Amino acid sequence: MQKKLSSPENTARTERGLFHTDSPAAKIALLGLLTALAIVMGYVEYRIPLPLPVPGIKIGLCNIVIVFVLYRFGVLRALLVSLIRVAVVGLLFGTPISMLYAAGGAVFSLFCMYLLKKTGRFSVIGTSGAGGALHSLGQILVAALLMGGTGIFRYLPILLFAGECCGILIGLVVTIVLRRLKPRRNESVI
Amino acid sequence: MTRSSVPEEKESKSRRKSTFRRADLWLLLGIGLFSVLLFGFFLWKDTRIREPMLEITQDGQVLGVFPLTEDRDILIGSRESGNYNLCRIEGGKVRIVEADCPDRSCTRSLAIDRRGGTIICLPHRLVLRIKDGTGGIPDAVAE
Repeated sequence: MQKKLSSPENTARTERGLFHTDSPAAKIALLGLLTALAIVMGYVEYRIPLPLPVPGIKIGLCNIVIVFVLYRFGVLRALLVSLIRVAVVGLLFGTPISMLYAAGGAVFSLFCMYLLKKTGRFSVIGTSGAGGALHSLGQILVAALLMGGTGIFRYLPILLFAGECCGILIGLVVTIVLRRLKPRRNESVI
Repeated sequence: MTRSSVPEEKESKSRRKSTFRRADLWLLLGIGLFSVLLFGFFLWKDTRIREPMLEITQDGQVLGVFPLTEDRDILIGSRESGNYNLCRIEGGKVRIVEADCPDRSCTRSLAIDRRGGTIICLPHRLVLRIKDGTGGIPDAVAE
């Protein structure tokens, strides 16, 4: 251990920090850590329900992690983290039905954010804001399918707007996080 | 997976990536405007209700249609087997007073009245909404 650390290669790696590593073990550890963070954020939100007369409004704190992973590690890893999070949070605090809503919203919004990011025209804030709104849309579509009715679409405008506002907040946070954890020159990330 | 190296890094060298761009503004304004218009559309639709009736739908099936003029309690599901919502019509206002769903957001929902609106219980896949009853739909009784 002592020997390894003293070699110039490894000193460079430790200076880079965990977020910009090439080692596969560190990648796995890092993504596991981020998944755990997303789950904890889901739990924090579950403990603090917003006393609003409309169901389904949440800040979506865990999306800070998802958007961060999308921008730093790509869409496939974001999808993985997102699905594991939905499954674990659903098993711990939810019902199979609430899990379906969550998965519908998460996958739909992640896919759309990926497309928006790919166009290269939008910043993190724009992508995340639209992603928040589309998260609501995804959930409502799943709900409409499950309930077999269009009555739920009445909530769409409110949920779209709330989702957009929360998404913008999350985009701001992720912008700051990405800037703080910026790789230095000639560095590759996972 | 070294292919997915950070795009920001390359771009920040050539051109500074701004935090918020014009395209973002249009995108977000567009979504905001769409939701406001949709909200307005529903409000407009509600003003056209002449004879308000409460329609109760569960799993996509209409369980019953009730007039708002008569006060009554409607139990959807049963207390013994679980999965129940107790809906109360009182003074022209409809709300869910009791339920055993996990999130209870239906009991927190604002009461709906002749001006329109919807109460939803996602876990029980239940929708209460105000609709125009002039079409001559028979009063089904769910009791």
